[in-house]
Amino acid sequence: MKALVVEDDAQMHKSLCRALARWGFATASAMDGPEALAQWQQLCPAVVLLDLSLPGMDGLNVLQQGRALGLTTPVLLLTARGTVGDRILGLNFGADDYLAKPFDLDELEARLRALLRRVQSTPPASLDRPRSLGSLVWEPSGAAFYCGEEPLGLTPREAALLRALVERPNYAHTKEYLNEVVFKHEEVQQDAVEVVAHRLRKKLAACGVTIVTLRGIGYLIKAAA
Amino acid sequence: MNKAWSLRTRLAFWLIVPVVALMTLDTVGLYYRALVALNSAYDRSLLGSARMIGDLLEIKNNKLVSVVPYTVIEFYEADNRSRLLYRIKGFNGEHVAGYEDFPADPAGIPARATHPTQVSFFDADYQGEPLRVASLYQAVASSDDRGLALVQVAEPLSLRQSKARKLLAETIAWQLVYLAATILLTWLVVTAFLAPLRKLEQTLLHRDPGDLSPIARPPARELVPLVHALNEVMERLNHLLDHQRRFIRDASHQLKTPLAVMKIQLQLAQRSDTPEPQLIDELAQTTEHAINVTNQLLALAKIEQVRGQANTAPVNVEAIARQVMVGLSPLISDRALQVELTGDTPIITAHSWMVEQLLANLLSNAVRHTPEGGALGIDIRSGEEVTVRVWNMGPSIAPEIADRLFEPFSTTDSLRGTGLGLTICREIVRWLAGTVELCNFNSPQGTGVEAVVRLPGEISQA
Repeated sequence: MKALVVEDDAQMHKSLCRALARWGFATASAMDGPEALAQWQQLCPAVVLLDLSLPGMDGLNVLQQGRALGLTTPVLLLTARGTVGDRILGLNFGADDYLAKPFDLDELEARLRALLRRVQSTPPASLDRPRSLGSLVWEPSGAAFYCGEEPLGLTPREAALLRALVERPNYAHTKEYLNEVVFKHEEVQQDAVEVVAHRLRKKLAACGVTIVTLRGIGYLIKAAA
Repeated sequence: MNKAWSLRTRLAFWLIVPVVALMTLDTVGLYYRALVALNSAYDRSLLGSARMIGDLLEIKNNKLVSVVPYTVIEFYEADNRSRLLYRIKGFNGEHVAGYEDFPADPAGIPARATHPTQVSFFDADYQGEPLRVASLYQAVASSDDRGLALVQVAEPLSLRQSKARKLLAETIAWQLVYLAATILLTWLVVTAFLAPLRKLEQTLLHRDPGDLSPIARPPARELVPLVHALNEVMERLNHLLDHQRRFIRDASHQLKTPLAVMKIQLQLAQRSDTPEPQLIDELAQTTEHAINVTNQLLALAKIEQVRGQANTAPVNVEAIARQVMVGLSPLISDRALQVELTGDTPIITAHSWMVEQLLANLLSNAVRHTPEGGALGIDIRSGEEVTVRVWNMGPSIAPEIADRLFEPFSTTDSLRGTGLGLTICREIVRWLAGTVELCNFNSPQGTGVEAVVRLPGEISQA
């Protein structure tokens, strides 16, 4: 699976290519706008990582022209500008996602996986490898959870809650959001998710992870200390 | 904006335009007075001729006889455009001498007058040529008879008209000379008048770019207030520049330090034979610090940038507080802190980015200064004004340093803090027309520190 990296900073470029190679991508690279457009047309990559500030031709221009040429490849914008205005502009010009520099590699990995899933192409195996936290292991698709080797028996609601929590470990998710995810459009009490969390907490007791309640905010999952 | 008029143009305009108007008025007056004088002189000489002819009238053999002396006619023939026409009528209006087709008298000339020499003047038309006519009733008497004879003398108007035109031309020519002199004089006066301003301009233009010292001596007394104002502006600029220079010096120091540390850590890692996970961890921490400093510096710059834009919108303070808590949740859970979000949900008009930065900086300070397992929170109250308290149970701050902490790069925690968080908060609050202060508090649960932000009233209760 090919990924096109359009980035003019040599160090950033090298590091990105290395990371992508580790996840199982074949990388092609372009240092400026016209080269990027030519490569994009020629190689038909599965995903384009596009830096916004390029010499010669702005990243937004490359994106616009690429879309005008009928190239539908998912595009992940990378930028050091990172202002809200840029973000909206980028998405309006046909970008699929947006990442502000500096970013975590984990974040980039998650975005790439989500992007490829959205266009229904299967990510490289190593990008799709099982994730883990403590001894909790799960498929990125969120289909199954394991405690070490043992499959965890979870109800659909518990699985939905756990899937939402492991989307971003260590970060809190608001109660409103979790309620929405777990109960979809069902009319339930505000604290219904607490009951599910309580049961899930018990089932995860032996997995080396804890679900932490932040009063007034929501829940987060992290590896047990 | 209209193009500014130069002082010179302004002065010249207000001097020259009225002068031109006055001169025009004066020219018209002069011309008419001269015309009256000219006409009366010509009329008098015409009357003289009529008198001369009248004096020579006699009655011979009961008949009125006139002898027109050639000198009278010759006088008028001196100019080739001019000639004398005349007619004499007898006592009963019968033609005696002169041109028979002489223009008729207009109505209103009395045929008989009580006064022996009744004089009148009128304009008439003779064969398409305008004439000036003098009529004179001359008493003639002899032993046989006596009566009034009508003597009429006329000359073409063209002569005096051409004289009048010449007069007008001369008058205008002289007035133009005066006008030119006035303009020249105005120009010289204005130039002399503006010399002090020009001198001030040159003084300012020839300064070194960095010279913001006050101007010593104003070149004219009227310029003293201007020079004072200029000096004051320059002093303020000087302060601002000083402030910025200090900021840049401090900022570059703050940026360089983590890079220097990173370099040493990297070299240590490169030179050690066995991989040292601890070094890598430290390197990651240093990098994180460098990112923080950079982000904070950029945030400070962005406040300046956003300040110029007017795209404010309704902002839900409570929603942003929640979002900020989510952002800091890894730190909060790491240190097992008890966090609370309490109070109202006011909506204010602002940039959401600014409110987010404000709360994120205050909360991240609170998190850092709360001992492990301690409590902290955000309490939002709306009323006349919106009050946001970001509080934490932790060691109190000496009041004398509380204010100083808002200055750039002053921090109580140089290891993790960038020293810019509170500066950013102060700038944002200033932009939102509010206040921010740090104070200690006592509560039944214990003592702590709170940052209190007061913002102008909400637009509506959500």
